Amino acid sequence: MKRIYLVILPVLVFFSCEKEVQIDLPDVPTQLVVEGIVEQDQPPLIILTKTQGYFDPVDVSTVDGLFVSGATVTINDGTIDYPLTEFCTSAIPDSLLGIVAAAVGISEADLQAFNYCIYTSLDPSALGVSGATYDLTIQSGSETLTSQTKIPEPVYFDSIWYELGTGQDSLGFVWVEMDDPDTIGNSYKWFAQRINHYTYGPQQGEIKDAQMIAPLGSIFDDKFFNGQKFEFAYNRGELGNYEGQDDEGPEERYFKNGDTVVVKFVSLDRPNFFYFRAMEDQWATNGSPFASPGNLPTNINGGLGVFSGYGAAFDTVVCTP
Amino acid sequence: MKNWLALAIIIVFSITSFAQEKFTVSGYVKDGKTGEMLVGADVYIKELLKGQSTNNYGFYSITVPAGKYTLVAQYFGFTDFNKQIDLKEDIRQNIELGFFLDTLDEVVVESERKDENTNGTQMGTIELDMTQIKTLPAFMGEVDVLKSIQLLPGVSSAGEGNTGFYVRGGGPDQNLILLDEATVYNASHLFGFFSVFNADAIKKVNMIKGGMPANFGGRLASVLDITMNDGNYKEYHANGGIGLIASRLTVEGPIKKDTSSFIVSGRRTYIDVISKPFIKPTAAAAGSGYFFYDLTAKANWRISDKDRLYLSGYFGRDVFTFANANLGLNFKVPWGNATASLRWNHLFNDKLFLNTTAIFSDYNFAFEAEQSQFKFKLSSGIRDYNLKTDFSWFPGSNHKVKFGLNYIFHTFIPSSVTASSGDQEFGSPDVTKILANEAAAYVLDEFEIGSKIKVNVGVRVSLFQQFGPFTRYYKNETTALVDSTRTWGRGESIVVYPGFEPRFAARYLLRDNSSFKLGITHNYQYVHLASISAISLPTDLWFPSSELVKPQIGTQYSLGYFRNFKENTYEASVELYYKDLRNLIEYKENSQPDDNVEDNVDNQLTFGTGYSYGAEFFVKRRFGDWTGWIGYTWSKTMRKFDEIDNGSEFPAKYDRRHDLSIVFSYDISKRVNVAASFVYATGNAITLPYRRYFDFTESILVTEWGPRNGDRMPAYHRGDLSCTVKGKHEKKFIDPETGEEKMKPRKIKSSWNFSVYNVYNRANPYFIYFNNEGDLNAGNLDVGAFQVSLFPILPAVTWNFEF
Repeated sequence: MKRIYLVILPVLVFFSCEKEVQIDLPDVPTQLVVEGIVEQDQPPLIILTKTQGYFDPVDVSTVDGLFVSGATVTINDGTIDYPLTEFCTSAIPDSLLGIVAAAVGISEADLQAFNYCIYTSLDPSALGVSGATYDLTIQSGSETLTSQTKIPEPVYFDSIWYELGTGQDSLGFVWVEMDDPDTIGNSYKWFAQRINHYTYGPQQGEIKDAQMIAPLGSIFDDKFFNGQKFEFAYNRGELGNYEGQDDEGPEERYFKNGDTVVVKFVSLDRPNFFYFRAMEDQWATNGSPFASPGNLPTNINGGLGVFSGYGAAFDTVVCTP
Repeated sequence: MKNWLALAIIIVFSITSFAQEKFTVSGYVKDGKTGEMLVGADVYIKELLKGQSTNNYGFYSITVPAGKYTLVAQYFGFTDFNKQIDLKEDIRQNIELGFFLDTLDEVVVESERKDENTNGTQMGTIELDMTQIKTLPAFMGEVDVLKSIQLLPGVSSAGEGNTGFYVRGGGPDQNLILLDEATVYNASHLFGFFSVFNADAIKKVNMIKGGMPANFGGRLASVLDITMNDGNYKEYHANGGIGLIASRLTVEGPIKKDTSSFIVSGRRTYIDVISKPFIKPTAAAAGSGYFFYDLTAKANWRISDKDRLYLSGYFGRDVFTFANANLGLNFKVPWGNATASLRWNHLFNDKLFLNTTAIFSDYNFAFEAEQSQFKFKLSSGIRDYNLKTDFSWFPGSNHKVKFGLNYIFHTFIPSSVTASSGDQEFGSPDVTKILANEAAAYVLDEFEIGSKIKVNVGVRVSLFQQFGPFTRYYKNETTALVDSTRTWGRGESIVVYPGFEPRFAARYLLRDNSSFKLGITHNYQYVHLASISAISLPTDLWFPSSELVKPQIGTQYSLGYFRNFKENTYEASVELYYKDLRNLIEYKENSQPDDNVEDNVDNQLTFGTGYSYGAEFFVKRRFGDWTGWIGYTWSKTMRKFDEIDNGSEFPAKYDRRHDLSIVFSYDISKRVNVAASFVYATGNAITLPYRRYFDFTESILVTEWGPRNGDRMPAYHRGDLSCTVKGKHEKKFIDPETGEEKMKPRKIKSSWNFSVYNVYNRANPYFIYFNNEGDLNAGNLDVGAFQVSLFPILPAVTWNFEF
């Protein structure tokens, strides 16, 4: 239904005029926001930030000021407590940033630009285990936040391949075939990353995608195809509002012949499915009057954001037509 | 229930039986020139000031003691009818009124004229005169009935350009819109910019916003009763107009003179044709088109003195297409209504009038989209088969009794979705239908006690039943996955809701020109509209009550003071109302209405209560060189839902604190009329984003919203002007016999209408949206609020003709 609204909008635009308006919001107390990921074979990652007023100005210093330091963060796998330590990127040598970027899912360039602070554990026994359930406790100032998530068993693709788009000779999509387990309620999120480098253009020499990118509609469940073998493909997504050299123009949404694409196919629990689906819906209706203003269904008690358990299945394909 | 009805009839009958010899004068009131039945004409015995207004078929019946009287008939715009009658037996007196605006006679204002404003019990009822509506400034040159009612107090527009309307804090689904007794589910073309009613085909518009009598039901807030023209019984005529956005043509005439007639009206827009040359082929809007057309037709036969048959139909369609090669996207959205009603009027005798109607009503829309390998089709609709019978009994002794039955068979298709990606198909190919029965029986009596008190008291008993085949998906609260299902077979009853709806209205005359009116009504509504957005769209879904969805229930108390001035030239009123509403419906937060496969639409809903109260002030000048009115409403409408905003009270989408309309029409000369209107309304409620935070993994800015509808958009106000210039209706000719210059009426009469919408070009907010652009990591993230306004100053020209 939301799609209808997205496309009816252009007609209204034909008739209408638009102007920016100033809105005075009342003073709203800040809240704590948790972005937490536990993934099998990966160290736990918690990013703790604060909300800002919606219209607060944004500049370089804004990002630094968001992070909340000095909190006590603990993850429990059902038996053992793993306390997490805070690391800020300004304190990490540049040479290690690459490893951190891969672990954290934020590009090396971004990590270099700002003082990102994350909470994690270097304890090898704190690595995620698939099938396990994790409890999160955060103590910050006088506030306590708790949450729980599970890392579902990952679901692997039967096959992955590349196909040219209709009428295209060098652009196409990554297709996969998967076998959905018989249990109803399997929820998935698709990420893709091109790990090859630009051989042309203003970003020549740079890696095409510095981090995993989830396109719009990346989150779905098995409502329509529970227990079935199922083929699908995704557009190449864009990272938020970031516009790379091929995010506009004929290559938008397509992968190109010769790209090496790594697909990270994540299984999630139900509360995560609701959160990410609502988040994508909110993102898709950015700028639409048809958005119904619902707040994301958070699984953080006492705060906002989400604590996710990723059952990640990786697969790679080289785009040969 | 049968015993109840019998008892009521016996009581009323016994009241009449002890009187002295009484006789009845009855008949039909018609427009002398066209033969059209006049609805709501006042017919009364001058000496006794006792009478009736004609019903929807132009019929009246007055029973009084034997004697010699003057029978008077009056209708706005027509010369009064006076006739001496000697009532010593039952008389059939059909009346033909002359349209005075055609002659040069002065209007004689009778000081003892009955006036509905003060004398009728129908409180909260507004009768709209088509002549007046046609002089009001029209949006894009198109005269619109629904736009006109929004200029009245208590009735607010759903927003810029929307035809959907709210009455006394009620939602757009709470208005019963009837066209010759057939329910019209979506009375708007394109986003509500135009209504489906072609003003040329309409005879009368009655809006009931309070004190709804027992013969109407099924909706909580209002009844908009629209009667079509019958068609000229005497001569063939055509009239129409050619305008900037649309053109229309109406043809009417007798099938058999004075016995049967027909009328056919059509209208089509050509925005698509006109705008095509102005849109570059590469523009976003290139390949888009929009057009609508509507067709209204009616035929009727006077089979005998006692029997008449009417057949009316409406068919309309909007088709919106959009194609954009850049996005690889094209889609088509067709939607529309079709209604048909067959009515049989039967006069048993001078006191008992029957109307039986068979009605078909259908509304549906579809949305078909295609983008690269992805195809999507959604369709939704509602179809009714309806049979009703209404008796009007005039036993005399100042009683007018109405009773009847109404049965509707509903078929809902709330949404049927199919989608495919490449070769993979999703969704169920079978269309899910929901079936229901809705029935009602009512009896009401309108009677006078003494000379000051008039009462309309009635009871409506209604029933709703959902029956199979149907499958219910019971969903788990936490996982939102289906826990269990239950299937009902064909015809199996699923749930039954009974409703007991007492209605009461009374009028107390203070002096000849003023009165108090009181109304208390209790209503049930079984059919609902779920709307996810602030704008009324054709994609809003109609669905029935069910196991999960209880009927909406409303109780309204209204009190009013009505007064006329200067021999009824001015009408004024103050009305206060309070409404209590239960079982109101909203979508759950974060609901995804396109997930309707293997699900029931009502699993996405949440329920609550609400209330609304307000005061309406109205002053109107009815006659003279200049006419017009000022209407002001102060109101407050709130809701309370456990699952929204943690159960705290929040304003309804339709909460509008202030609403002001000023309408003015002035005849500069016999041929030139100017009209102006001004509207002011408190800004629409809006939910503002209060906080934001970042999701770093996806580089997305997430919005945290403030209280639901907790803030307001800027106020809405607008002025419109219009000028109508009638062409000369007569032309000179030389009389061949006398050689004199004389005047004779022209065959083709025409007029030009110039209108300007939004004369001072105010950018009224249509909606405000929030957007973020730029990238956080690049430090150029920009968050802003943008207001979209729809219509700047819009002039329009229409040429209207008649022959």
